Amino acid sequence: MTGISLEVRRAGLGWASFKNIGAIYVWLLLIAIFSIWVPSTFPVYATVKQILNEDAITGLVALALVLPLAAGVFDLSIGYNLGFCNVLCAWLLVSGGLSVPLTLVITVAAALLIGVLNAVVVVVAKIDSFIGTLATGFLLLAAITVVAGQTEIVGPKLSSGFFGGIANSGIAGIDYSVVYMVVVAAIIWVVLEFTVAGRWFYAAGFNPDAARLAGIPVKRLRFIVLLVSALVAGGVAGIAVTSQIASGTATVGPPYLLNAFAAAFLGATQLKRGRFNAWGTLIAVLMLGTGTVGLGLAGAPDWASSVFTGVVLLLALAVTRAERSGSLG
Amino acid sequence: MTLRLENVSKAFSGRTVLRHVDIEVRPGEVHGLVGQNGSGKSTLIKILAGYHTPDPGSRAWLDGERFELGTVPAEHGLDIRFVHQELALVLQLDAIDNVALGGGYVKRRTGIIDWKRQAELTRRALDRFGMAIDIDVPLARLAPVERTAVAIVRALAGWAEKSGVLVLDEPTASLPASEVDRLHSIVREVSQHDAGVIYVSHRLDDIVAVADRISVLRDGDLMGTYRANEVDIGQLASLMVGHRVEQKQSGGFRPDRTSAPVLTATGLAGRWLEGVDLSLWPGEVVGIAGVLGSGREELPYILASAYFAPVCGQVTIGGEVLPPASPRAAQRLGVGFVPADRLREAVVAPFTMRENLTIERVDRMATAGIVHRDEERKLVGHWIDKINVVPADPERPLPKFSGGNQQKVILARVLSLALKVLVLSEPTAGVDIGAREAVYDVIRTEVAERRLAVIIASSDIGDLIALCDRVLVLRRGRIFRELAGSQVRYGAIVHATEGTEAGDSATAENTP
Repeated sequence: MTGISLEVRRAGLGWASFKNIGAIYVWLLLIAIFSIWVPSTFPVYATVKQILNEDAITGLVALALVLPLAAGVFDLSIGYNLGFCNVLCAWLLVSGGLSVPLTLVITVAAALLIGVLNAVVVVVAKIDSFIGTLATGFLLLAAITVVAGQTEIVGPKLSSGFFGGIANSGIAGIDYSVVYMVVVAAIIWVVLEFTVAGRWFYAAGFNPDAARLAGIPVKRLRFIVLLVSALVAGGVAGIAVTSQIASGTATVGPPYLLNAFAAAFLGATQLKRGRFNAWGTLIAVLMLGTGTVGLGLAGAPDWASSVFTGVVLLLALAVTRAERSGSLG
Repeated sequence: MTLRLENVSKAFSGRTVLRHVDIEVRPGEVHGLVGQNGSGKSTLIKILAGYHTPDPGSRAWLDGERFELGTVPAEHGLDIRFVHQELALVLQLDAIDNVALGGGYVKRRTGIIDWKRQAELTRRALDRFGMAIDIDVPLARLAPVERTAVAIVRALAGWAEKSGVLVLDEPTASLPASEVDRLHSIVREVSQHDAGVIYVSHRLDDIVAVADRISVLRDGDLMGTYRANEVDIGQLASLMVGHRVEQKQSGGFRPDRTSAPVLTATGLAGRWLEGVDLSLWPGEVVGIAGVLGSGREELPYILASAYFAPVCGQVTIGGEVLPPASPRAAQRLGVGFVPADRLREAVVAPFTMRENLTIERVDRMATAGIVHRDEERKLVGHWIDKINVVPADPERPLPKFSGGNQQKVILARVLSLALKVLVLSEPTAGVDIGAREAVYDVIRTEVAERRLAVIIASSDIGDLIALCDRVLVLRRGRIFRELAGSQVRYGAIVHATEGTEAGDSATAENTP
């Protein structure tokens, strides 16, 4: 009885506290600041569309990281995976002249193959995931250059027809890629929150020794999460970005890495503190995106958004740490 | 130099753990310090290291000069140096670096490390102990005794030979028997030039072989200091045990030995074990005793298939062979395991109590991978009531509970499975005395209700007395003695772990 009443009380008061959804309060504050600062261009529907559409790919890449990080594995290859799938997809359609369905199948298969490579390096060869996926990232970087060379792959097949519509022009000016982001987030949420696998991912990440002694198949779980991150980053985000920018370009993928990690780590301080989670990651992506777009509209210099992201990340982790040591002491 | 401790007492929140202890360590002497768990041995060492402040009235002198206990000796320029059981070495680095991390690097005027002189220094320090060690390979590749030598050299860096005291805390705990002699010659070399050595050990044969004099602690009292050549191991064991009131509470379990054993093990060997056979029947609680390094820490892990280093031998559960290094297979065959190091091997932080309790069973409470929340909540509620977890809040992170309540939850985690055999290693480590009885009760109830077969390996002999029908005493990797029924007594177990006869105790027990 006591247990249940405590649970209710916690559910009743805790969810809206600053330490639980601090990013949402900061987000609201940002919206207020920019609405006053640039009243003519910021608080309009066009800006909402811009923020959502521009952040969908970052959001997908950040979500790709949630399961590996929950299970205690780094995947540093995701940016390169996305980049490779981008140039591969464009090359197959334009230079290869393949049909759209075949292109999609091959691209998804390539993404999964990259996942298998990562999993073999990390789980089978037992190379530390931070170093192992950094190395496979380099191999992918080489592959990107081989496929795309120095030129941009462009063609009518990328910008029009079914393929051109994959990521763009959805409902009310919101791109389909935003829909993909929300769907992927919902799936990850269900897995982590309601399934046995989710419970085991967290256990394997928090205390792999205890998880192994409890009979949890830690190796198999780590294999799976690396497949998932490759599938989401390459198969989903990689194809979506190709449709969005209608080209295959060698420099597209790598920059996503830092932003995605920033959002995933910031997300872990939100909603379910200390646990990497889907909605927290999404909130982080949109909050950081709002800051970036707002600064752009306000005419701030180019470097301002990077300063903003770095400072927010440091503050979020400092606040979390201070609370944690406070509660223990 | 002489280290003199006088009237040292210490109480923790009203409970006295050291009572008016006087000890003198003379120049050039190896002074052994022995006592069971809870005798106050480690408290005394921690006071000397400045980790605990002793109660008022405690006094200490080094070389005739009074100093304050409860402060870190090195901060006052006192040459009291410590080598702890874990050695605190960086195994990835070589001996040169490890020694320098203690004593500092030799630098040129430019501030750059003079590696040549640094290596020479290390070489010379180790040569003194007759150790031909590769000083430029990572310590992980050295033999355990060679690592201990490096730790000693590091502890001694820059000390004034004649006025120093070196404290060695359980230095043989992680050494194989074959390397103990080498350690002893190192210790004697240290004491040779008038330094004093305090040598703490569980192993009486070890202490008797190296010490000049031996002080025995029991329940916080100094039983006396004896010249090593005037006492034997049996007398020391009796002094450690004393005249105890036996609180024998086991019994009532009636193992059914007419049926086939539920667990059989043959020829088990690993890092410490050198061939152990045993059988276990349903409804039976069997204890495993032994000093550090006897194989007592290793055996439960092998029996539960939770041991990931190479092993020999075979374990069968209900006639089926248990594959090694597979906790999952053990689970499937009905073996539940509670490992020794709760925080590292059992508690998943920051999981809640609920998540920790159900982690081994959650896959059996799900349809198509989706966990049945109601069923989970009901199971957790059932165990909270049954084993009385306080506070009864399933959503509180488990690390925030007391050690005793954490252990109850870990027990419930395992007991919620369909079990035939329960294997426990150090079931009451870090559990306060009040909660200990509660843990015992949980185990007793489960054995009686479900006719479980239980293995309890513990360094706390109190656990074995309270629960076991039968105790197997390990010594040097083999079963040295089997005690059953009324033989399961404190004194008998201590004597057996030290390899002595309980008969010796008759005279000594009456003379404190």
